[in-house]
Amino acid sequence: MAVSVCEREFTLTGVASNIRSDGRGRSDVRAAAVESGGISQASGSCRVSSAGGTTVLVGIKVAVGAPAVTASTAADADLDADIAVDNSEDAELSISDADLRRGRVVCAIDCNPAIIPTMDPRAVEDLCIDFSEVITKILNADHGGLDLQSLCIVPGSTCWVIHVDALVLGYGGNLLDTLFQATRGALHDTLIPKVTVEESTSASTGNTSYEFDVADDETEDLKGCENIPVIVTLFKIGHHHVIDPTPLEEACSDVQLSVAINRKGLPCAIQKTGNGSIEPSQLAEMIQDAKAHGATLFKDMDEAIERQRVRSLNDTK
Amino acid sequence: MDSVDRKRIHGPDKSVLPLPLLDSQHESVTSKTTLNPSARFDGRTHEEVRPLFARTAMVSQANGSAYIEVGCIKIICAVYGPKQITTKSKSGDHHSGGRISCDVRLAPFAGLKRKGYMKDTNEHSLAKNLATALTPSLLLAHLPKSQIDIHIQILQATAGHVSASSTSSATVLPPPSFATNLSLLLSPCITVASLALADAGIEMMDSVVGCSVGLFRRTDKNSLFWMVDPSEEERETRALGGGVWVGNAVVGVMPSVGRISGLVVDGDVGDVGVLMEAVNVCVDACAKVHDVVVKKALVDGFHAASSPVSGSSSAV
Amino acid sequence: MFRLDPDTFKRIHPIEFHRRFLANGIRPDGRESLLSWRTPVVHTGSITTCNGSAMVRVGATAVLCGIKAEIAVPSAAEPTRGFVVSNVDLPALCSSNFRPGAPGEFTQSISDTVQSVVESAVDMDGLCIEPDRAVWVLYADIVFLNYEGAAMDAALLALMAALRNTRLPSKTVYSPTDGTVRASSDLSVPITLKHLPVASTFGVVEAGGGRMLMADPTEDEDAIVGSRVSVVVDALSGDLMGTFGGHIPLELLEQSVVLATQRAKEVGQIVGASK
Repeated sequence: MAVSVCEREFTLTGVASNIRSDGRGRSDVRAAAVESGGISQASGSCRVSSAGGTTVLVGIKVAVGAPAVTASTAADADLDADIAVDNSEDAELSISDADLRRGRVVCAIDCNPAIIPTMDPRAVEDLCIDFSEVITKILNADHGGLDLQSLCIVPGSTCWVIHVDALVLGYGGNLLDTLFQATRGALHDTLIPKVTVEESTSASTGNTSYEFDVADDETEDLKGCENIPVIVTLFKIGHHHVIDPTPLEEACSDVQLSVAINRKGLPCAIQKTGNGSIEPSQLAEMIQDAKAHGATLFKDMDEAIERQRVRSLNDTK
Repeated sequence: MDSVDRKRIHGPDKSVLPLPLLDSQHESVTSKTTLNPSARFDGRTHEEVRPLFARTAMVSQANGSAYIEVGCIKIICAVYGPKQITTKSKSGDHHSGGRISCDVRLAPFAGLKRKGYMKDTNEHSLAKNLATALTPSLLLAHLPKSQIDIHIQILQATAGHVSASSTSSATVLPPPSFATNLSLLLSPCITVASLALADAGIEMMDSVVGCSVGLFRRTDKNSLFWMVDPSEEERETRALGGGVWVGNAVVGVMPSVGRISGLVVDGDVGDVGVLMEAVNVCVDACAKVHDVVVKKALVDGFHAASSPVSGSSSAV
Repeated sequence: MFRLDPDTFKRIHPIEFHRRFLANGIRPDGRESLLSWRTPVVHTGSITTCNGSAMVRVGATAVLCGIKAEIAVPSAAEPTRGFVVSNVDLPALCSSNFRPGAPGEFTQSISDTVQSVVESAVDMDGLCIEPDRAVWVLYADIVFLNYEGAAMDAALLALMAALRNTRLPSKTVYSPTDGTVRASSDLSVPITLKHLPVASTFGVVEAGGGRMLMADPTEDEDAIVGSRVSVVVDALSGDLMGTFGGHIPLELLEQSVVLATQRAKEVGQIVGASK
């Protein structure tokens, strides 16, 4: 996005004086509404709309699939089919044991380029890919909170694959944080069908085969949702940094620092983007600020999710 | 996904690596546990980086190129440009400066399991983080409407097969999942790309040097410690009892101006204090690497280019 | 008076630049005759993630071949035949003439030729572990790091040197119950090569009113090369294994085969000296 010299000067001076164009201080966020469970056909969903105009909708679909390494060789299986798997796949267990004994998360973000008119359509596409990689990476990591081991069905061959599909409906800045909030909300809302696995060893060959059955009516919550971190992105503008920026402020920022903060209030992933560089001392300052914001965001998210839960309980009554 | 890539030659539908014979597995496990947990495998101090080999002017066709070797990692980088941007785009307006495009490829034989030619997300995120780390060093405002292509080929990404004589632990441990391991490739990628850019004569504020640091938790106490430039074995010290890998940070540093141009942190790295300590150690390590290796490679490259007999001795 | 320096002249009038060399029977890279070759340099075993690897330089051209051995199920028709899968990659890194992404026609044609030659050179049945159950598949990936002509010659040379460098585990155990193969960690068994194919590429150029051969044309010299032919000769037996490429007068083809046979012997010695 091209910013004129005057616009840039205006934004920089504003940020330096701790008054932003919409009246906020550097560390004030805009109000955001969190509504989960809007899409009935999804396993879980959440919509987050910020007062600044950023609106994202995340739908979760859980499907039976293959763990990481064998992903390309095994096709996604039908949900209601009983599948017998022998362990001839065991040869691959040696490749990366841990990865094969757990489920995985796949994230895709879609954004119509018309929603961000200031950016090139190709750049919007790249942005979506980058963000989906960030989200996929965090959720699949040990520090991502989710209990991925609980998603394993048959070690080495079958597991739950959680598809996170995000749709950007409106853009008013601070997209990554909002996307991750919505993903978090949607995962809280997600129910996965119960699976029963039967193990049988054939007497003649000594092979162990597994049969599993996906329940139609029984479901359970996704384990470890409450431990998913939050992402706080700080935008350095001039010598200061702001959170929850407007599109104009984003365009004036030369360094962005996305920090994932876990429930303990500690950083668990950091990524720097942007065309500028930063001094180590300011880096420390920014991460400290991110920690503080992260703790607040955690509290707000917990409250919002609890409200949703109470509401949905009342609805079902 | 039934569309088969007909432009390549394909083998059988599926192939796997052989499993290790069981007897060889047991020997190595016992030999591993006897190692001193606090010391590093190669006797370095915690602040020390691995020996590093770098040289420029490897690809005669390119405007600039460089090659780097750190431990078992071998990376070659070529820079083409600046050249005119041919594709029309909205953002390519007159007052915007030049841009860089990074392309990172792993050779099919770079890892333990052969990798296909299809570009995967790891290569994509490596390229993206590389671009982030390099951009601040370049004076792109001086190159309007132009593009610099940075191509990186990773020839070897991990320690290899071990012969019978070697006592390395590589065969016993399950190969670490490649995704996490790739973060260790980012730092040499940054260093080699910056060298190649300098070799191409692209205007820059400073060269960028990459350095990674591994953070470990002591198993007896709940405190963290770090090791600069961890090797693959060190990353897998879970088995050793000395420390558990909790995360790592990759830092891109512009040593002369003392600023950080790239930062990727993964894992439960504890409080800001420990992390910043680790980052600052990286900054110091980068300054040393810059003084000793990068400057020498650039000076050598310059002398080789200006002398009539160009030294084309093989480095690979 | 205005004078062009050689680099500028070459850039502006590439055809005229090369014609002047041709008229004097010399080459821009210092070779003294149309029929002289750039001597290849072979290094093996540099990539330790591979079962075998080789780096070959021909002039400025540098190519790296890595071979990885994996296990696959053989085809039902030929239950003891292993696989060799060779792919040539000319990435955007090696020259500005190549684009990133899917391989172009030139790359594909070299891949296909190399694949067909190597299949006849390797003893495929020697790659069998358990008939009808498990065979070795050798993935040979040939990556150019610097491209200055001689694509076919260098690619095949790197592949053959890497195959000679390849070692398989000394002991393999096939388990009939679960279909897995276990292998010892030492790599000591070389693979059997029936032939040692060496490719020699000639360009056909027009000079002095007639057509003649130009051995080992560089990328730049392509400007004046009408058509090219790669002659593949087995360095062990001296037999012709095939000619690839197009359009060459019969008498020049005869001459090229004779020259290629001589060269195959010399190059065979260089490869033979490598381990």
